[in-house]
Formats: sequence, structure tokens, C-alpha cells
Amino acid sequence: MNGATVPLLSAEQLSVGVGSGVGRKTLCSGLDWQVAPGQFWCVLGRNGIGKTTLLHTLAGLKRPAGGRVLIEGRDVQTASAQQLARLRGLLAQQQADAFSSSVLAAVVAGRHPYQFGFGWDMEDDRALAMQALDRVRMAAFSTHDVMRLSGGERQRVGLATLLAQDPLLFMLDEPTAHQDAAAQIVVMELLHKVANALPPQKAVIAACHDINLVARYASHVLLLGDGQAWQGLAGSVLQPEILQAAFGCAFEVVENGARRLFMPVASAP
Amino acid sequence: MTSIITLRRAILILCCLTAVAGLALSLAVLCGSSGCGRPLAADPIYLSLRLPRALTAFIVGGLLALAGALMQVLLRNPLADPYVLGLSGGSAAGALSALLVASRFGYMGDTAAAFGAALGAGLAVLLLFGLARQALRHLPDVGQHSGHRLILTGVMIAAGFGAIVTLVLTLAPDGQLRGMLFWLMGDLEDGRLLLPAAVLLLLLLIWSTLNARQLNLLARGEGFAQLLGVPVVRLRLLTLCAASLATAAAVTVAGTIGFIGLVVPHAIRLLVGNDQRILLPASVLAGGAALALADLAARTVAAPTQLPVGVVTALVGVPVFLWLLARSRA
Repeated sequence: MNGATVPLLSAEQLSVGVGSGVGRKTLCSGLDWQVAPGQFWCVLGRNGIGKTTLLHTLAGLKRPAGGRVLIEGRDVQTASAQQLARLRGLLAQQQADAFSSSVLAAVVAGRHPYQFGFGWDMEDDRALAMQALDRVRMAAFSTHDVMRLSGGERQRVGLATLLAQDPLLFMLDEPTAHQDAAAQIVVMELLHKVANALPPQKAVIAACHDINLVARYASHVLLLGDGQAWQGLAGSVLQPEILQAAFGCAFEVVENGARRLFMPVASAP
Repeated sequence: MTSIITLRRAILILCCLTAVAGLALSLAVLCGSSGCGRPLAADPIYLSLRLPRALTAFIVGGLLALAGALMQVLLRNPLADPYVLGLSGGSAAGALSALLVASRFGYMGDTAAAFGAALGAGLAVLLLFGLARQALRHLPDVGQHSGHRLILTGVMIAAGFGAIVTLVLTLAPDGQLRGMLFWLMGDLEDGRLLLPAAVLLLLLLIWSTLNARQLNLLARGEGFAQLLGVPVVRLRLLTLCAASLATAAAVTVAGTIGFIGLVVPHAIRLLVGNDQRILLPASVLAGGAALALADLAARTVAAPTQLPVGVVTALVGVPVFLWLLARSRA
């Protein structure tokens, strides 16, 4: 054992963009970034700065505009869908259901990478799904229809599906966006536990907007700004000057015991 | 129904539907315009007329229901049907044009119609694949409803072929019009293609049952399925091929019979849920039974006049569909 941690995910000179042809827009260019097991990264940045596009590119759903993404040393563009399904999972910003389905069936779907052939789902898949629902406080809803859930409940079912998928790298696009105050804590505590489980195997990358939740739970922060990105330990990136440069608004810092709270203030007229 | 289907329940449902299908087939063979009777082995009416016709109805109904169920998953729209992407328009235009040309050469044309229908359906599929290439080759964004591009392309193809059908009907000599209208409403008289159609149905059913677990994920979203390890671009392409083949075979055998491919999978979904592992075989059984019974009604209700079977499926299908729509939240 040498103390060096092998990166779970590494982005090499990664550029991501949206659109094609004339309307093409590069959102983030030349990003070098490594995520090691045990780390809980939050991705911060203004609306439209490219957090979602970056996550989708990291997950292999979108082709990068330049550079490459490796998960466990495998290029996500050439790895098969089956291989990737055990390596990384992504909770999208919203779930678009077209058909009715029970909550439990939606979570059991996350076990697909571990099922083979025509196999009917087994008792233990269902048990795992129930556990996952329990961890997001949705066990009481297991027989409900996913199309009748509220936005926040549906997202937590999506999180349970990701828990059932149990990949090495958890990626989440605004997991706290639709959640009430209590559920935000449930979600962040859960992600914190996933990243900090011993021995360190898994890592979490979450796009977020709530700087104070990030300051409290994340171990590392990637902050995207215009043509520039800051990355590192949460404490070193979450500085009022850096935040101001990235968000274009001033931040007041409130010291509360060991915790720092960042309050955005209206820019001077 | 939102509970998870256990294997035991799935087997039970399929057994019940098999029994229903067997019953429907026996009724369709035993009954006719001359009333219901016990089969006499020597009576040629059963073996040479009614049995092939009932089997043709069953196979065509099964093909249409399977195609409808696959289209609904592919387009992620519970109200899609086999004809939504323009296949029926293509085959109708092909069949009617073939009938028109055949009549010019003084040749009566069941074979010509079947040939034209297959050609037209093939042309429509090629057009669709060509025009919707982009939509099929790329993965839609996660969490976005997709399939609009595919559906709109199909609707436009259907509209174009609709114009051709109208044109052919205007140009056709009066003596041909009646036959053409009957073809458009569906006609199960010709059983010559029964065997190849049955083999195709069996192969497609095996393919879709083997891929049912992946189709289940596709129904939950293209991005979602890709993230969980389904090669989505390939699966969508194969699903479109399978649905197109089934539809093309059905219209080649029997013309454009409506509503079976829309109502049957939708109704089965309401009854047993959206698990494709059971929905697809159940749709085939129910679709076959439904069309066999509809054809029985078409033969007997106004006997000795035979109604086009498409009229019966539409007359029953429209109210059933509206009722299903009213009780769903779509």
C-alpha cells in the first residue's frame, strides 16, 4: 500500500459544448480534473454555465467537444453501456415519465446492470430496492404511481434508483433543488455517507446551487466561471472573492461557530 | 395497476389469455353466416374457408397489437399506434396504385394489391429511416421527452401518402372503387400469406420477449436506459425495424385494419401494467383474439352481406378508446 489514491474519474483537457454548427457554444474548456474515491465534490456555478452539460459529458451521454473522460481508466466514449452502468450513475435534473409505474418497480429498474438474460427480478433485488427507498424516506410510497408523486418525491425516488444501481461514481444534477429543508439534509447526509463509507470506494459529484449546503457537506468544490474554473478543497474554493468572481455578486460571510455562512448581497446600483 | 408483477402472476395472466384466444378462435371457426354448428370433419367450409380465415385474423391481429405495443415504447407515448409513422399510408398508396395499374392491364388484382402494399410499406419505412436519421442516431437529452421529431416526420409521411391515396381513388374507374375501399378497410379473405406471416409473428415475439427487460428501461426514458447499460441507439433502431416489419406484414396480408394496434396494447397495459415481459406476449394473444372476433362479427352481423372488418374494429375501437382515455390521466 502506498498512500496514493488512484483517481476514479479523470478529465483530461476536457471541453464541453452545447449545440452544433454555427450555434455551437463552448461552455468549459481545457478542464483537467481528478476525482478520487472517498471524495464528495460539488459543482457550483451560474445558471447556464454548463454544470448539466459537464455531468452528462462525464457520464458518457454527450460527446466531449475536446479532451477525454476516463472512469477507472476506461474512456467513457468507447466503454460499453453495460460496463459503464456499474461504474457510474447519474440522477438527472428531472424525470420524464411517460407511463404509469409503481415506485418500487422504478427503483428495481436500477438493478438492471446486475441482472442477466430474461431473468425475472429476484426477491433480493426487491429487498435492495426497499432499503434504498427507506434511505430516502420514501418506503411508505412503494406502491404509489410515479406519475402522481410531487417533484421532490419523484427526485428522491430517482435517488433511490441510483442507490439501487450502486455505481462507484454517483453523479447528481441538483439533487436538492426540489427538496424541502428537511429533505435537503436527508439527501446531503446520504451522499456524504456514500462518499465517506470505509474503505473508500465511491465518490460523489453533485451539481448544486445552495452554497451553504455545499460548505457543510462537500469535501471538494469545482466552481465554474466564465472561461475559468476553480477546484480544490471546499474551504479553499469557497472564499468570498472567488465566489464574487464566479457569480458576479458580492457575498457577506457570517461566522457561526465553526461554520461559515455565505449570504449573497445585492450589487451596488 | 401499479404493483410489481411476480412470475407466478405473469404465467397466470398468459394462461388466461391463451384460453381466451383459443375460445375466440374456436368461435370464429364454428360460427358463420349460416349460424353456429358442430364441425363435421367432412364439411369443407370449416377447413378450407373458416379455419384459414380465423387463423389469418388471429395472426394479423397479433402482428398489429405487437407493432402497436412496440411503437408505444419506442415513441414513449401510450397513444401511439402502428400506423402513426406513415406505414399504413405507404402501403395503402402502394396497394391502390397497384390495383389501378392492374386494372389497366385487365388483370384482377389480389396479388397485385398485396405486392403493392408490401412495396409501399417498404418505401414508407425507407423514407422514415432516411428523414429521421438524425433523431434515431443520437441519444436525446436525459429527462427530456423525445420522439417528437420521429413522430412529426412520420405524420408528414402519412399525410403525403394520404394525398396519393385520394389521387388514386379519383383516377380509379368506378368498377374498381368498391374493391379499393374494401382493401382500405381491411380484408381477411386472402389466406395465402398465412404461413410466412405466422413465422414472422413468432420470430418477432421471440425477439421482443428476449429484449423485454431493456424495453422496460427504454419506456422509462432513453437517457435513463442508457445510464443503466442499455445500448439505446441500437435498441431503438431494432425496435423500429421490428414494429415496421410487423406492420408491413399485417397490411400486406389484410389491408389497413385500424384500432387493434392502438386499443389492444393500451387496454392490456391498464389491466396488467407496463411490464413489457408480459405486455408484449399478452398483446399478441389479445390482439389475435380481438381481430378473430371482430371478423366473426363482420361476417355474421349483416349476413349474407360481409362488412369490412375495419368497420367493426373502428365501431368497437372508438368508444373503447374514448372510455380508456377518460379513465386515464393522460
